Amino acid sequence: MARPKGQSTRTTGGRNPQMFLLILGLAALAVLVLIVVGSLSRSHKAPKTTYLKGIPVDGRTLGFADAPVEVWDYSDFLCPHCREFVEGPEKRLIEEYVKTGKVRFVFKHFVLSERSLPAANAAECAREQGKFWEYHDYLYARQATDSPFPTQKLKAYARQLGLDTSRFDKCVDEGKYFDALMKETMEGYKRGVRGTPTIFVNGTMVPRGMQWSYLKEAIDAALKESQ
Amino acid sequence: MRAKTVRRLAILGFDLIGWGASAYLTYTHFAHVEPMCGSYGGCGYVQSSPYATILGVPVALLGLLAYTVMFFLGILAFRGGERGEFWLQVLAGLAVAGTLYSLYLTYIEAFVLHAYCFYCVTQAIAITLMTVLVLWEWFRWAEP
Repeated sequence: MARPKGQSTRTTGGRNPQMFLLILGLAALAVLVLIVVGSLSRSHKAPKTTYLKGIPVDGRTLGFADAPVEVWDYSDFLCPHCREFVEGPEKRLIEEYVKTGKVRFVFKHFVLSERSLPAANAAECAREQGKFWEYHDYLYARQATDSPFPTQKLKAYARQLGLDTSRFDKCVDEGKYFDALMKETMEGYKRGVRGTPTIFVNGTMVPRGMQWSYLKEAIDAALKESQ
Repeated sequence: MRAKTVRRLAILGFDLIGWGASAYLTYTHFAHVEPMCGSYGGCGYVQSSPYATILGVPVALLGLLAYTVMFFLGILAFRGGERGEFWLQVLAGLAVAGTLYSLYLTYIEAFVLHAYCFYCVTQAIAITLMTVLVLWEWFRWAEP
């Protein structure tokens, strides 16, 4: 049937407040779902450090003393790329090379800015008590939500890891390792480090070393050389 | 050109701007390269933050899909026909959702990450302007 002119679906158009509100509501709901799902997928529980089992730990060094290759990782706890490295290539490195006695892995501080100092210092305070790696994992797992790590958070992690809190808190409050951290950062700078993470294999910088394929290639070459 | 034509072209134009920014960020995500970001940019920082993915899916890819769908919804709506207004309403819904989500992401950039990413901000502006025009288009749908 022919509709009279001007009376088609027009009346249900944008001037229809109900339809407008419905669309707004649906859009807002969709966005809310996205935000909630996103935040749920980000909430990390306390990280598991079972990967350390069976590996000798000496402060910031992981691995057997007679491993033929040494890998250094210059990192900062506020740097997202460092977290990516820790979650991906680092775990693989530990699993495939450190556990098998081929590589000794050393974490080195490269403090990108003053804002990073408290977290790096706290990691050193945990190292004093033999829990550097546990604390290191904690910082990266919490980076998304807690960065740049206020003091009370740094202290809370230590409690959860079962550290001697009075000793830890004192170490954090006095910034015990600030000078040592700056020294280590300068040392990295002299070696050519300009960003984080920067990876060295047997003292030589590996370009794009944060990517597994490049890192693996460099390690395999160093292993071959050592034979 | 009539104002209506200009408006519709602008809607598709803003969509393409957003599409381009999302496509580039999607590319950098999967190619594992840092986005080019001018002299001092937070692109790499923002893009590698945990807010850049949802359940492992890069937000840039979601944006790319949304801009692609919105482009075709725009074409469907503007080519005329009985269901034109329906498609425009779907487009409006998606555009409003996109704007709200971009608003949230910009908030995260400003107050959580303290860094901005040029492409993210560009697409946020594009989607906001596009939404204004889409709603305008819808409110004026009955006009010749």
